[in-house]
Amino acid sequence: MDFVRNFPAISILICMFAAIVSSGLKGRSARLLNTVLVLVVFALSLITFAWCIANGNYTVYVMGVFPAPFGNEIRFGVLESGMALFFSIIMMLSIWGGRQKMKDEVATDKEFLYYVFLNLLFSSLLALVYTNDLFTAYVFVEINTISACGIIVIRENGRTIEAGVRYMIMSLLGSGLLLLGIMMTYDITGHLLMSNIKESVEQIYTSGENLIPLVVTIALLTTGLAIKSALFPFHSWLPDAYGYSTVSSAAILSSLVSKGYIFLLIKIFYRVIGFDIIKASKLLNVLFVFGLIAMISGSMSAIRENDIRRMIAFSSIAQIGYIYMGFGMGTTAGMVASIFHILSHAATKSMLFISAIGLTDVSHGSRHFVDLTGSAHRNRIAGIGFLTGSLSMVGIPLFSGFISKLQFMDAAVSLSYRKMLPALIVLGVSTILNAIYFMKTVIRIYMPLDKLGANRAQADVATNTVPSTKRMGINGVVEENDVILFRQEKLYGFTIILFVTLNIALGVCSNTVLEWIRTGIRMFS
Amino acid sequence: MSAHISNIWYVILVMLPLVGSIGIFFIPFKKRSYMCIYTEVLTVATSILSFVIMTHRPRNPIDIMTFVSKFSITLGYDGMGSIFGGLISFLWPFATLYAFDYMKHEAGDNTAKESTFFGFYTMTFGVTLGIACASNLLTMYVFYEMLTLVTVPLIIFTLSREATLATRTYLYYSLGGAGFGFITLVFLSNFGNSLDFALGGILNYNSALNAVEVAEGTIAGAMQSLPADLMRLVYLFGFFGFGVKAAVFPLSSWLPKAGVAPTPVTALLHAVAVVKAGAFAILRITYYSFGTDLLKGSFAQYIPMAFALFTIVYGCSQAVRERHLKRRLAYSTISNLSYILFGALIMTPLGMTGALTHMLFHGVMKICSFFCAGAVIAGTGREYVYEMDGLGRRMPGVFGAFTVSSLSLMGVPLLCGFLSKYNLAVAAVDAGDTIACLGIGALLISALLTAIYMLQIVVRAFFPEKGFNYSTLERFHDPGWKMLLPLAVFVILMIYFGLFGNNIVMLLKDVANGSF
Repeated sequence: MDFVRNFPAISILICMFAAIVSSGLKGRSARLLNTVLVLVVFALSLITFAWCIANGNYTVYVMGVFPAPFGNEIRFGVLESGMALFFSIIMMLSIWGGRQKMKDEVATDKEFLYYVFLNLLFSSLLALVYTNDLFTAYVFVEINTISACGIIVIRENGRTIEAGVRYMIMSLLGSGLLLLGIMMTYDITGHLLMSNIKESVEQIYTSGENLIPLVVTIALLTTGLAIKSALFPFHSWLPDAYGYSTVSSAAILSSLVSKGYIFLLIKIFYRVIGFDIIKASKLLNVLFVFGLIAMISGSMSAIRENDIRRMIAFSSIAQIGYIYMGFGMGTTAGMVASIFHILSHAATKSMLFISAIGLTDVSHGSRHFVDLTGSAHRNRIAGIGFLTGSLSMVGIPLFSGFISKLQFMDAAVSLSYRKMLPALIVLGVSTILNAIYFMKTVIRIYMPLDKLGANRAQADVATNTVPSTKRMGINGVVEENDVILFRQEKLYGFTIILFVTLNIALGVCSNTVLEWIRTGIRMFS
Repeated sequence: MSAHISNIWYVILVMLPLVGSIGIFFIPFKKRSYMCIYTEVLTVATSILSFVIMTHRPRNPIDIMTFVSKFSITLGYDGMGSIFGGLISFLWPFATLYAFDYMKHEAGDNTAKESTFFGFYTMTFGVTLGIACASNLLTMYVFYEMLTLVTVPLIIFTLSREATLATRTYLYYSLGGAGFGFITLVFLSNFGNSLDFALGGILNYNSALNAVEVAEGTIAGAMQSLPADLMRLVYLFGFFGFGVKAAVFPLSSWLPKAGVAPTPVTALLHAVAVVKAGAFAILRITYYSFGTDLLKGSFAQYIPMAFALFTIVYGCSQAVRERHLKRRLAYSTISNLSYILFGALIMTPLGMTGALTHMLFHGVMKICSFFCAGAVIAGTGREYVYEMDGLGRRMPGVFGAFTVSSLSLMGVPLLCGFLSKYNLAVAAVDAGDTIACLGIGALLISALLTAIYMLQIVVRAFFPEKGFNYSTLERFHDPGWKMLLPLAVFVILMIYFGLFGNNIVMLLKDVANGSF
């Protein structure tokens, strides 16, 4: 079974090759290739994951012939392979869920480009997860940025181009800072491989020289990745990018791209700098504060929002705030909570985006709340998806969101008063805020329209102000709206069912998942 | 107490209504009456099972699943659980019977809508039994959240704008409150021996923080024992978090609004199941999780006490001001719930006895008065107090029952309301605190105000002003047996408890002392 150690490298490489091959294919075959690719990567990651668990230790895989200080390395354990497995599941579901809709969103002759970008994005995500080399990480961060930009602007309308440009500018700013950070790291340590950097950093820290450059380096690396993953003050690009791109793109951007950067940040914390030094640098306190602000402000914006897609996008900002708050706690428990939240949020948010598109499709494509009234009755399966996602976000037991909330609170209890009370209160308040905007939407989509129409018609009769033809018009709307049944969009329905299952599985089997995460973190550092 | 039965029956007890209600949704009943029979049989079967389990209590609770190491879902009745479980198991079949008649008026011919209603209504029964059965805090929390969700379709039933707004308010308050209650849960899991309910509390006073991973610059180091003030603060979170459902003053505005729901919902859920679940949760965390040793005599007792006392008076005075019949009763519920909380916050076994007595008796009294109000609304379409003139003569059964429940709510001797108020007062005197004596003052003021707002209705109904023209009321008459039977049962109960309630009180004393 030793050849399993090649699998991570293989999965990264086949994704890149598939991207190159796709550029010469027609839309249909590119789509087929992409499906096969994601399934293959899923299988490979699954085997790697099982192997890592059985193995009980991390594995270092040398790329090429040169050994450590010069060559390039891949290092993987339970956490990395598990994350790759999870990413491939979400990737698969997001693409399937948006496939039907893609016909309307992307011009047919550009379809193959979409899959080129997706394959590139996937390869870069896998590389970010697996790599043990800081510079390789940077290269793939850039590939990630460009392909992410591609999947935003592929839907060609004004809003997405504007969103794409905005995303590009903010993201490149982030990459720039990251690059500066990497350069300074190289400058003070002389290494690019993560394990080697860590040794030198420890020496620097104990010797007490070059401490200020070290802190600046940490700050640069963190800020760069925080911008890219839309932590609070740097989130302005996010609502448009998630709100107007194609549905698959939105699902992938929210649940994978930002999570890839966050995972890289975790890696930098543990493997490049060392968690103790990060803690001592007090930088985590900054992340903690911004995380808390993000949790509140993201939800506040979501409450004000009148457009379902943008509302979900704003909710992402709040959820990313949760993750950074977990980092900011500076304990292993906080980190475990954050990593679990990465999984839970990825599973939930992509489901919400996919369900939202089903709901808007049966409401004349309108994304405004008023038009969405009763849409869950017209597209049942999308309604169920949205309901599950909302309950999970609010933190109802049996869904994955509950376990994240539980873990965050559990982690918060062991903090000092200064951090514990703000964390607990903000968690409590943000539960209320989440409940406000998600439950509002759920009630809206489950409100039967015929009753509302009938009410209005009755009122019209009572006041006798509106002529009868107009009333017919109101009733006419009901019939005009398409009703989508499960058998019409089997793949879509199937995807939502898988999403719901995944969510409940994360909520119910959380014990196992958390155990994996803890093992993963132990292997990580 | 005779033989013990297997503890798997707990699961069956909770699952029976939950699974059975799926049948109500999906079985295409040929006739409405078949659905009614199915629902009633299901409810009665569950109630009987509940009583059987109570009298032949299994030895151990049953573990169903484990979330994360220390958090598990466990079902099992203890003394207090049986009291709450018994209350709802007794009331539910009658409420369902009443609802059959009432919903005919509310839903019209829409059978599909009705079966949705009864489906969720029965499901709520299972969830509430789950709260009663929960033998640790996490289980209670899980069912508590589920209770919020399954009652939403019931409140929003009419789908009017008012109902939607009311539902939204209810959801925000309840989910938010549970969010803060959750903080309590997490703290207890860290500073307690386990989350299981045990009379006297489960806090670990000796090595609370040793086991906990400690972050930089913390309390730990020097801290070898329980951070008492912190835990008291956490109790406040829990009190106000769960207090949302028990409608403590600043968090009570959802309850009158929820009055737009059909009467069986307001009566059973907003006078018994939902609000009592809030009070029950507070009793649980006070006596069974934190334990009174920590809380008694500290700010964690006085602050909630002040709020509870204020709510008693506030609820009554709002009820006097309110002219809408059901909303007036809802305000009265707010005030009465705080009686229970007041009893709970005295933090002595006597106080707990008082609280439990009032929990039981108020359930019977208030469901009776709500059902009367519902019968009036269903029969006449009149919803406001000033429209009640002269109805007493046309609907003697309904208003007779209403009069009895009014007198009982006021606390007239020989009716059960007297007994519970008496117990609360005894507990307050026994505690001897200044604040507890203030409580007696609040009870007296509230009794006076109760007399005003309840008797006003009774007097209007039976003694309209001189020269009142009864011919305008010709078409109104008492409702059918399905509505009258529950009322009759409740009236008999109120009188029976008033005369012979001592047995019940002794039983509750046993519960409060941990010997039942």
